[in-house]
Amino acid sequence: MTQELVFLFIGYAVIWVLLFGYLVFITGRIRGVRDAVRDVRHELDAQRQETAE
Amino acid sequence: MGLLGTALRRRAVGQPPLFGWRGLIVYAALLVLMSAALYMIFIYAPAERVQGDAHRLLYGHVAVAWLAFLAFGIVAFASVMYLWRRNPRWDSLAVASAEVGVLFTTLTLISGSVWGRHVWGVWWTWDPRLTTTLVLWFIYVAYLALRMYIDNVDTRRRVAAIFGIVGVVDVPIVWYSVEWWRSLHPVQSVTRAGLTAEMVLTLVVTVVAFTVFCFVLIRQRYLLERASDEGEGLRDIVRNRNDVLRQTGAPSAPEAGE
Amino acid sequence: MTDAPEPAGAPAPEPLKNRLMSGKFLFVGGALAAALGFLIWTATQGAAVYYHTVSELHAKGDEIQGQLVRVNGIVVDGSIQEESANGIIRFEIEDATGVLPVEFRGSPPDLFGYAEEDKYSDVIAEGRLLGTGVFEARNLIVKHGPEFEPREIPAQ
Repeated sequence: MTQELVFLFIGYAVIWVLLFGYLVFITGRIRGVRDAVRDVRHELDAQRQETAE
Repeated sequence: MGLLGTALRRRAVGQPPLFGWRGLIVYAALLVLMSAALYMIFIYAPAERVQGDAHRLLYGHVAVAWLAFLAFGIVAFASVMYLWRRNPRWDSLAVASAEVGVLFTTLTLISGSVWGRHVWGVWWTWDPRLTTTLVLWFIYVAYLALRMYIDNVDTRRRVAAIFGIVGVVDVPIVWYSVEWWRSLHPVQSVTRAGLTAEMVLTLVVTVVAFTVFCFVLIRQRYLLERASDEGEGLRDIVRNRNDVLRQTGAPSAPEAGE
Repeated sequence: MTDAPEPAGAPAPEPLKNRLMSGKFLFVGGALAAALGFLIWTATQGAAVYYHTVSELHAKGDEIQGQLVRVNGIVVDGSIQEESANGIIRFEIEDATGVLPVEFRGSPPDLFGYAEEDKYSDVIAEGRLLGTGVFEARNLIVKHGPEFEPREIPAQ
């Protein structure tokens, strides 16, 4: 492989890896945050019912 | 949070993170566009007279640089809209675009550095275009850092919006740097570039593919920000409630983390 | 983001919080001012250009001798001489009105050469002008325009 091809592949590999990595990371975090929010909301609703009774 | 908050919360929770029918179409289109761009960059586009295959870095480099500019433009627009309307959704759009913009600026600097190492012979030099681009990167990293330093949510949004509007001043400076000052970096010129039809088509497809990718990233980051905002609001509710419950001796709810 | 923001309708924050906030503002404001200052500084330093031309270097004469500067010119046809024994490359660069002999130790960029050989002959040398009139380059940077043309014959 010539040197220009090495630089070419490094350049594009960095672009693809960072873009896809960021997409996967963000999408995973959305799930995590939403799960946490949902749990707390359920807990809160359950408590509200208890205190109402 | 009131009525507006309830409406926003519904919206943030009701939408899955780009799955289902619409998500499938978007991701399929993205896959097709990215594959097409990949094929065109590496096989369809001809080798360049002097640079040979290294010139293929042009397509990706130009695309990510353009999207960095676009993302910071969106930050400025969303910041203006936030200051005008005070709707937290504009603020979320601004954060999302700023983070994606920093990512694309990073990619611009890295791809440019690799290309420069081969063609110019150096990884980095303090040329006006490179220097102003690095300043652009620092401005929006500072923007993101600034947001972490301000606890009060309204102050944070307001200060960030002002910063987001001021920061975008560097975008035209980066663009015109190669015309205003002597630089190593070539000027951007479609007319002088002498690109063949194949090269232009490859550039167009690559730019379109990366633009779609950029919008997907901004959308996902926006949804994350909306969910985080909701968690922050909920945590306040839980804390207030726990304070009340503690006084009456009732068990308290767990506090929402991030 | 470990601290909760003030809940809506909460009483005014205590003075300590205020002091901390203003400290943060000072820090962040300072960072902003520094970034903008750097921006303006880079934007206005017209005197410290990225590179000089050969003619400008000659016009400055002795005053620029020994200073670390960049100089741009086109490689003169047939002037490149490589001394493989000690790894020194000698060549001349020129602009419209001047010629400058350059000496460089090291391996030049891949695309450095003559235009007729499909290389870039536009070059920026980073280094010092010696008393002998020779420019001692510690770095060679190849410069090129925005022109991109396909290869006529596929290189095989």
